[in-house]
Amino acid sequence: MGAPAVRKASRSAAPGRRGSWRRALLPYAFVAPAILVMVALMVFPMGRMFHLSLFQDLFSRAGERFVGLENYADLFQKELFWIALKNSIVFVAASLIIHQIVGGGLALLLMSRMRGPLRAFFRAIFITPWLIIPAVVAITWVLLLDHRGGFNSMLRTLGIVECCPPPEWFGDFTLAMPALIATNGWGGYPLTMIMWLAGLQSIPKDHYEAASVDGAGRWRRFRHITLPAMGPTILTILLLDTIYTFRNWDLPFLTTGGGPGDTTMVLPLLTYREAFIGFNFGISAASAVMILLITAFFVFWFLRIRGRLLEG
Amino acid sequence: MLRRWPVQPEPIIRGLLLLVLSAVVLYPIFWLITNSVRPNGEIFKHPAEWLPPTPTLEAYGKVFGTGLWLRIFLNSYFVAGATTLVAVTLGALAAYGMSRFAFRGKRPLEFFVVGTQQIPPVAMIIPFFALVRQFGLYDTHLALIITYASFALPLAILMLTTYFATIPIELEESAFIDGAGRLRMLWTIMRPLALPGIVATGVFAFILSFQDLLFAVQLTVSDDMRTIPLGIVTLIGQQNVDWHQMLAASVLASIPLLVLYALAQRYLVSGLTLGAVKQ
Repeated sequence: MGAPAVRKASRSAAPGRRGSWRRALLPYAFVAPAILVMVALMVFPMGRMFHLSLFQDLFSRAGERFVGLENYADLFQKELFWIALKNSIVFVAASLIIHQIVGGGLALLLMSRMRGPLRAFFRAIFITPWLIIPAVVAITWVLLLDHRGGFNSMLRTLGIVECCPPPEWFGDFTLAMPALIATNGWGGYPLTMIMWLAGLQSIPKDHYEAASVDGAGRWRRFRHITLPAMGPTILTILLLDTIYTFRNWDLPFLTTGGGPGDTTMVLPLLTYREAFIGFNFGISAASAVMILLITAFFVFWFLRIRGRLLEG
Repeated sequence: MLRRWPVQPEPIIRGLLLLVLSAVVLYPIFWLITNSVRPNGEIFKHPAEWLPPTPTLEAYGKVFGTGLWLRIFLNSYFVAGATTLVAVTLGALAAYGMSRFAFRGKRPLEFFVVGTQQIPPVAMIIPFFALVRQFGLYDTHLALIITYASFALPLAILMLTTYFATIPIELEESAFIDGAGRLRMLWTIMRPLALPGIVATGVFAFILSFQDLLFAVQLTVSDDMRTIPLGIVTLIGQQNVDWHQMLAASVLASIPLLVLYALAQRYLVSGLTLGAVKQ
């Protein structure tokens, strides 16, 4: 990132009239307000959550009691935690794959030769799901995937499902998770697409022109120019998408609530349920810390691969 | 590409593909809208007709009939607008500091900003609830604004820092010789040049706060404080769901962000191009 510019800037700041200590403090004055807000409202509460995860009988009249890592032990002994962990991983992995295929594919389509207004038109259409608030996404898909809903009507019109009673997608033990993934796939691919578009636009055009002159076909241009150039961008997208999908609470809460059975129980729902339904604040806090740790694990993993790509 | 045929089949195939994909993507929205104009009893009719035979705006009448929804919409605009203002202002200051100065602790600061992005909102609601109560901010919009602003800040700083870094420093040097202060430079030089990045950042912050349900549920309780997502979810009652009113409200709730996109779209991708991706 712009290191030379920075060095130049600090040198250019030298012939100032003010005292040198004031100049030395100037950069901190710029970053301080934002950092203070983030420390007060993100780091402090997260630290408090970590602290809470070491206590039991929180907010009770008898007073809280330090239990060390007992909440974690309790959490790991719950079968539901392992179910939620497995579901979360399935949910995140499947969502990310859909987002990359749909978002990346549409971005490539939109970047192909097309008149400007036409491109803006299709871009607007494909971005639409991103602009729909998650609560409305959930409601729309519940309406669509109801056993008397639009999707079943369409299947019937197309003559696909005529034999049997129409399925209740979100209420079916095997179909609920795919339905949830489809919902999140639809609501989430536009963000991937926007970032793909941004990345594609920053690939210099002359690379493609040179390749065209050399007679490289479409696939070879994609394989040898687009993909290597997009590698770090794709990893950045995967990183952000992992963070955003792992923490997704709205969609599962509003569509399935974790059911039927526990087939769509994911970690944020478990965290929420332990706190606000079970009132097990300690266990909820432990589960929240686990979400952070698991996300951090994936983020560092992606960052390492990305670092290797940027070097190589 | 060499032009071998007078008529190229490729653009036509591509056009058809785009049309089919558009239809697939828009189908859920089509279903939402058409159902919102069905009479109340026909919402779950199987098999349903593609278009309602007797459309009615009855549900929209119900939404507009109460003053409450107007209030809810204004609440959402206010909270999201204020969040955007706070996040972009603080974000731009921090980004200016990080892109224009070399200082001790800058690298750890970058890690800190990236790291805070990982904090899951659901992990914070218990401490947040306690904190907000302690400061007497429970059931106020201020609580929502500062919460959303803090969640929008990491991405805002990252996007703006990289965007600012692409703007040549020489432009500021001449202003510096003229004796302009740093804040003035940020306002008169960076603001117009970094406009795409600033608009893109603002749109992200606005959408983030406009869409949140989790904090709105936990931090507010009275009808007057409700934001749009909470207003919609409130229609899911204990016994039954007011689908009719919920669908109309859902359609209406989707309009503001679509308008925002239409206004900002020319900046959005270019603003992001240099912003979030090239971290």
